[in-house]
Order: sequence, then C-alpha cells, then structure tokens
Amino acid sequence: MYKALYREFRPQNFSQVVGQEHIVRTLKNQILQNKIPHAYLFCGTRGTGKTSTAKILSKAVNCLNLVDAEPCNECEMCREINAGTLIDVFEIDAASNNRVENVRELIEDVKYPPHRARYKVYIIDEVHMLSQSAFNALLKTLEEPPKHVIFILATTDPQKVPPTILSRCQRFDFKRITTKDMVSRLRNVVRQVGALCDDDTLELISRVSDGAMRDALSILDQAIAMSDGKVEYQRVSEMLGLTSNEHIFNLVDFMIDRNIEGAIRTIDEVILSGKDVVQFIKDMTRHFRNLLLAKVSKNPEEILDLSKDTINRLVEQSRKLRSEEIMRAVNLFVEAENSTKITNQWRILLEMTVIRYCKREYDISVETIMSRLNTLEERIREGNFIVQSTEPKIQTPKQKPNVAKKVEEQPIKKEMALSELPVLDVSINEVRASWHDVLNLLKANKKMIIYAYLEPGDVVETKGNKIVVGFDKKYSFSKDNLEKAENKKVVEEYFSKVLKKDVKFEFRILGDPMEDEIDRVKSVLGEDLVEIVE
Amino acid sequence: MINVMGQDAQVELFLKTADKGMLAHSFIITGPDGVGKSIFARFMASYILCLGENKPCGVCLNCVRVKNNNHPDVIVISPKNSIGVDDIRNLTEKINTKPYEGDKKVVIIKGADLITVQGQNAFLKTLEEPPLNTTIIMLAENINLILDTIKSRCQIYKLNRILTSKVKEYLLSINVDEQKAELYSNLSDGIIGNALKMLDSKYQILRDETINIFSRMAQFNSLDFIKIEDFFTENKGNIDSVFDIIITLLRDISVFKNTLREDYCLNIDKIDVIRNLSGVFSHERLNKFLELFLSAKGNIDKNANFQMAITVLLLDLQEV
Repeated sequence: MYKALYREFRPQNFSQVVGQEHIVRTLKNQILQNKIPHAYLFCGTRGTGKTSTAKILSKAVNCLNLVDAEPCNECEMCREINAGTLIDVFEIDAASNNRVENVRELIEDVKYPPHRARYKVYIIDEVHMLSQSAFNALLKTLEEPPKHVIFILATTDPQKVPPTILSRCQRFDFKRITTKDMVSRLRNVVRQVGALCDDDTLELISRVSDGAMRDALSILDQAIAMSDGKVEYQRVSEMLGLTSNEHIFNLVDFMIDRNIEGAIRTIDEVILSGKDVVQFIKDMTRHFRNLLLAKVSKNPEEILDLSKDTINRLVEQSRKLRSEEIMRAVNLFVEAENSTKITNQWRILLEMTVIRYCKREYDISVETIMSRLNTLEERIREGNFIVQSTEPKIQTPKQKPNVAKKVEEQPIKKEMALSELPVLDVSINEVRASWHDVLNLLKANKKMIIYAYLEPGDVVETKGNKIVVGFDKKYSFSKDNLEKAENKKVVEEYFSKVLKKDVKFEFRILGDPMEDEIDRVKSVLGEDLVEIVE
Repeated sequence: MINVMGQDAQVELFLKTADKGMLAHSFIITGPDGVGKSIFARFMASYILCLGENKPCGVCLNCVRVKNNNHPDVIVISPKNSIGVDDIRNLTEKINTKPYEGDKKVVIIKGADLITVQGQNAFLKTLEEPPLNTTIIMLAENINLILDTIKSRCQIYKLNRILTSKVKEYLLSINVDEQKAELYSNLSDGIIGNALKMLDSKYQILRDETINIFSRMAQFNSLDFIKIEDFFTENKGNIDSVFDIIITLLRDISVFKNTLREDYCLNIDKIDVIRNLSGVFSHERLNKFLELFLSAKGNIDKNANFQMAITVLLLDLQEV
C-alpha cells in the first residue's frame, strides 16, 4: 500500500530534521557528552518535527554503533525501533490514554529495567490531553525516575500542561519551518519521488502550509498525484481553492467606492469560479492587514513578503482608505470568519459583511464613529469646511489667500449640490423604504426632538414630489410641531438627502379630532347627559 | 456504478491519484451538507475494494455491496449528536481488527466535525499510522471544527458548490418543471442535496410558513409573540432549515434595499415580500437581525436550552 509522503519522508536521523538546528545541536551534544536528562518536553505547532525528533532521539540513545551522535538506522536496535517492535521504546498516545489509571500502569512499568536496550524511552505524544489527576500522578516519577528511563513529552499546546510538569522537563520549542528551509526540503522530496515542480509552486505550497512540514508534504502529495508528471502552479492553486489577487483588489475597490452592486457581482464571480468562501474571507482579512501595513510603514517592502508589483498596488489602494476604516474592515471580516463556525451560509456572511462595510453611516461601532470623527477633524484642520447658516456669508479677509479661496469655492459647490437634486415624483414605497433610515439618521445626528415627533407618523400618500405623513389624532401635537418652518425644513432636507430627490412635506391628522373629543366627554359624563348642539 | 454528480474535478483528482497507486491512508472530504460527500466516500470505498479491472467497475461483488451499503469491511460511523473519546476508542479497536473478507478495510466517519476535541486528539495517533491496508475517510461539513493536527494528517478533498446552472440541469433531468427548477437551483446555493430537499412538499410548506412568520416578526406586536414562539418550537427538528430560510431572506432584503435589483435576489418567487420588507427594515435593523439569528443559531448548536434560546432571540428582536 502507498505510504503518504509525510510518512515516507519522516526524518530518520538528526541531519534530516529541517529548520530545528538549535534543538538538534543541543540534543547531539547531550548525547556526545553523555549528559542525557531524564525528561524532555517538545513543544511546537503541528508538523514541525516533534514526534520525529523524539523517535530519532530514542534511536540515538539506544543505537549500538552511534556515529557522531547520529543513529545508524542499521543496527538491531534502530531497525526494531523503526519497525515499532522494540519493547523498551513506548510510544504512548496520551489523548486516548489520558486517565489516571493509564498513568499508574505506566508508573508501575517504569521501575523495571529495560529488557534489551540501554534506555527505556517513553514517548508521550499529545501530552496536553492528560487529565489533571493524571498529570499529578506523573509528577513524582517524572522528577526522579530510575536512571534507565527517559521521558519525552510532546505537545502542540504547552500552555495546557501544568507548570509543575513544565518545571521538571527540559523544554525544547520547535519553530515553524521557514519558507526557505521548507522549499529546499520539498525540492529534495520532489527529486526523490521523481516529479517535476518549479520553485514558485513549492513556494506557494510552503506559504499555504504555514510552517508545518506535514501540511506541505500532504499538499505536495496531492499535487503530484493530480499532475501529469509536472506539478503546475495554476492547478495547485486551483486545488487549494486560492483566490487570485485580482478578485480581492477588485472587491476592495468596490468597497472603497461603496458600490454594493459591483461588490455583489464580484462575490458572485468568486463563487462561480469555485473558490472556497471561508478561505476568501481569510484572504480578505489578510489583504486589509497588508493594506494597513502598507499605509503605516515607510518601506513596506521590508515587512510584506510580496512581489514588488503587488506592494505598489497595495500602497496605492491604501491611500484611498483611512487607518480606522481598514481596522474596521479587519474587525468585520474577523467577525465573519468566526461566524463561519456557526452557519454554513458562508456566501451570505461574506455579502452581508461587505454591505455592512459599505453602509457605514448606519453602523454605530466605535471604529466607525472614530473614523467619521477623524474625517471631521481633518477637515476642520484643513479649514476645508463651511458652517451652514441662514445669515448671508461674510467674506473672509484676504490675509490667508489659500484658505479663503477654499471657503469661497465651497459654498458655490454646496449650493450646486442642493439645487442639483432633481425634482422627481416619489413613490410611497420608496418613502416607506427609507423611512427607518431617515429616522436613524436623525437619531444619529442628535435631532432627537424631530425624531420623536416623526416617529409615530406614517406615510399616507405621495403627490408628485410631495409626501403626506399622517398622524393619529393623539399625536396631533407632533403634527403641529413638525409644521413649524424650521422643523419642516430639517425633515425635508433629510428626506431629500436620503432619497436623492428634492421632496416637500405635508402633515395631516388621520380621523376627525372633534369626534374623539365628543367621545371623551361622553365617556366622562355618560351618554345621556350630553347633547350635541351644532 | 456510483455517480458523483457535478464533482468532476475532485473525482478526476481521486482517480488520477488512485491510478498512480498514490492513495493515502486517511482522507477528509469536506463540503456543505447535501453536496455529495457520502456518495463520494462510497465511490472511494468502492474503488478501493473493487475486484474488477476497470475500477470501480460497479458490477463486481464488492462494488455492488458497497453500493447497497452492506459490505462487511466498510465500517460506517454516523453519529447522532457527537463522537466522544469512548466512541473513538471503540472505533480504534474496530480499526485494529483484521478485515473479515479480503485484505482491505474502509472506515467512513460521517460528521467528523462532530468528534469532540478530546475525541479528535485521541484519534490522532491512529489516524497518522493506521494498520496496513486500512483507509479512513472522514466527512465533515465544517472543516474549521477539525483540529489542525488532524487536517495535516489527511488528504483533503473539497467538494465545492457547483454552478446553479448545473443544479438546474440536474433538476430538469429528473423531470422537475422549468419554473421550479429555476427557483430551487437559485436557492440551492449550488448544492444538489438542498435542491432535492426543497422539492419535498413539506419543505415548501415550511418555507412558506417561515417567510410568513418572518414578515410578521418584522412588524412585531407582542400579541404575536406566543404564536411565533410556538412556530419555532414546532419546527425544532428543522430549526436549521428555518434559520437558513430566514438568513437567505435577510440577505435578499439587504441586497435588494441596496441595489434595487430583483435579479440579484435568490428568493425569486418572493419578490413581493422582499420589496415589502425592505421598506420595513432599516440597514441597522437588518444587521441586528442577522446578528441575533446567528447568535441564536450558535447558542442552539452549543446545546443551550432550545426554548430559552428562542425566547431570548424573540425578546431581543423586539428591542431592535
């Protein structure tokens, strides 16, 4: 049967262990000087070589003809350990033997001397899964085991191991394998397997596998299997469901322009091309992180591990965004990524995230408000703003020609903008659709009074560009107040802004107020006593 | 012969790997519910066990038995709620016994994302070096719930959503009428299983009811509260579908409100409802609704008291 590459190419001696020179050197020296401690703890993320190193170490301490601290892999001991048949080397899966009883058995076993080998080696893999009491039961033995015993604990989660265990072990932290080391190892494997593969592809594989050799070899395995002799970049990237940068840049451009239609279309394209949506969400997060780095750093080439071309595009795009906006995008996408664990409607999550980003005026998170505040501050600092007032504009003295010029230009522009709004017919549906948005906008802009007056009202009908809002008779004071010129103006202004049409308002009381009064009098005095005189 | 619909690329990848004799010992097949994971797994099993020349032949004894789900050396684990450490230990024992008939054994674990974290850890060692000639195939809807340490030990096959036009093609091929095929392929999200589920008249009733109830929820008044709560309780068994329907609808409302384009909507038969609701909802309220539904779904998934989760959801929705 076929053996997966990561099993086939498991390092068999220290020199084959990739990217962990600091550990290998220490271990070798310990063996050479015969100062072998009785307990090791190997930590590090998956696929960095913990189990492999543990196995090599178990061979090295027992090997019959050790050469420069390297196991020979040929002697009786080495062969038996490789085959997993030597009874003095125990590979224990702590995750499935995590109970205190299992540890007691182990302790019982420890006191007997080795049968044939020099040392009894206990490799306890996934040690973080031992139960609390199992850890405690192990403490005494781990501190002072018989002299023929070596414990090698291996784990991906050292923070789950109690400190009392940690302090009794020599700890070795396995580093993630760098892209360079990984590429050269992959190159080696590719040569031995007899496949063809260019450096770009190997680099892609090592980047995706995030420093874990086993992941890289698994991907390579699949890539070689899929290829017809030559592993091609395009097909590997397809196999991994990676999105092209093009889509990401496009989508972000649309998000900057707040063009929801375009954004939805881009997402559609991404999905049609069969990309993994979760991966895409992760890519978006990373893209915004890159944008932020490109924005804040003076020479992004040093931090970003990307091609010159891409960095230039990043810098360009980041100019169109503020830092707070980028951070907000990162937050939104991270949130979406977390939600992928709750629902499988990933596409919808992505779409809603993008829409939320685009509709920032309806977002009340701190980042958004900060971002909007900063925009304001900046404009105030530049003097590039106008205060709208009913008074005729006072000409700024010509002392500061720059600023004055701007201020002069601005009102004209603004007036243009207002009068630009077309006088168009509005439909009742349209007004209803934006009703809540306007209310929220009023609330957001601290027009609470108008908000309160307008809230109980309902759109009754529209005539041309006139909107008729009806109030229940008990809210007649709302109507009265809204009819005041200054309030009415605000309402019209807000609706015009949201609807992007110039609209007028009319307020009306629904039902007859007189009828109501009569009913009230009747209810107080009783029906018989009231006579209506016209 | 087992036919895996629409996943040509993955089938090709598998066959190429297999023909070169490079099949690994453990696989993860991932993809959304209904995309054809089980079928793909049985396809793999049938290939591995096939006695014929042109694998999988579909006619030999083993292929037929795999197809009919009664091959003694294909162990299928399908969990109800979750798979714990003890289940994994039992499974490990089963894996370590010799096959009954031939020399090969296939273990299919459905719902591998339901294995608890402890269970996954307990499985690591077996998964890395299972006995000779044993193949472990794990099926997972949500691969994010599977530990990295497990993932890195397996070859992963991602079954993607397929083009909606393909779904439509398939639906038409099983004699669904044009209009329905269009709607359901749209709603299927590129998953044939979804589309098939929707063809069930019960689902159609559920969908109509849910959309109805949701429109009422949008214009809440407290009188309806009990009725709406009852609706959710009645459909406890289908709560995932109910939530999915609502989330899809929320998406449509949001997209329609922002683009005013009907052709971007998925629920094409409910355009009127969407149009109507887009008037009732503000952007903020839409987002809040989505958030609340997601968090309720998360709570239910985490085994919160169902009744409480729904009550809290409804109360929160009123506040928005």
